[in-house]
Amino acid sequence: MSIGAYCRRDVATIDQDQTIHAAAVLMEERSLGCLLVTGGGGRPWGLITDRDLALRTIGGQLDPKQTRVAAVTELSLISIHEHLPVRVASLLMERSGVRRLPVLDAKDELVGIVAWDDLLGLFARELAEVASAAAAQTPRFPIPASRALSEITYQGVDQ
Amino acid sequence: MKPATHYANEVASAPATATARMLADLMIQHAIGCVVIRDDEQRPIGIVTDRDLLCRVVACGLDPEQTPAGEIATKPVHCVPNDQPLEQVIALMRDANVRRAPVVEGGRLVGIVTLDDLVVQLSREIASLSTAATRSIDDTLRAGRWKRRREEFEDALASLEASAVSAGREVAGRVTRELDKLRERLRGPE
Repeated sequence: MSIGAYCRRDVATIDQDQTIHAAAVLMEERSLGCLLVTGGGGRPWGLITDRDLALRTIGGQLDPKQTRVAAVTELSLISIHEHLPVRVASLLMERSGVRRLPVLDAKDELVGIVAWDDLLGLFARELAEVASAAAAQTPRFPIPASRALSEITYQGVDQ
Repeated sequence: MKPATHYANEVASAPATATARMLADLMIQHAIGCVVIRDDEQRPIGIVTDRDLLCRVVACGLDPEQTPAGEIATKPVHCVPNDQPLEQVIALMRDANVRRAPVVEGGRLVGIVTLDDLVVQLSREIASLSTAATRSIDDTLRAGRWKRRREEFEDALASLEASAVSAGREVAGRVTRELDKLRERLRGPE
């Protein structure tokens, strides 16, 4: 079960030289929770969420139309390779506290994003299957004692 | 299912006159994603999320210092009574497409249930089940080891008993032979 099979392939990007306002409008219009901020040559450079964009802009008293999106995007970019198992993505989220990870291929090219919500859905489906298998094996109690006993006796005599 | 209040957490609230800037500061300070907007009697009248600040303030080019919470809040807000069963709370979140539901008691705001908190709480319960499963496996293994040790001990006892019996037989045979010899000597040559 590799990350490549579960990541979202349609990633919205914005150039780091665009304004905060442009990023906010893009997120609103296309109902996006995050944008991948690209640097020179379209390479991934940072990831910005709706929350970070709003709170860093308002909290830092920045002018959205005069400030580059790069000013509120964190430089360090944690990413993950698509061939790794899903478990690694949740571990990386646990360690870093981020909910979205850019997914790269073997050539370090961006192929998508794996999000906390998607992983939660995957685990929940697996857990639901385990739960239904466990429920199917639970004996249908209560069985009337007399009936249960007669069945045992019958089997004993038969053998 | 447990009632909403079991899963509720503390909630931040502000009057409709608070500015967008104040809401953002609250969200940063307490690391929260929303502020419930209340009237003078602590009744929820709306809600503002971090995303609302982006879409309704930053994207619209409004001045956060001049924009009151009442203008950007989602109204009305979907509240749940404190005794509402969890499955109904989740159904409301799914149908209304929201991740947060303020909890009210007698109409007044007392807490909030968020999807994130539900994941945390439910996974803790799953973690307890997983610990129970691990422990029962450990117990089974330990019981298996004990059974094997008892069998080994019983085997050792049985062989000890057998050798004691054979040793006893040997001694008895020797004594019998010695007695026979003595008897022969007592009879003497005839």
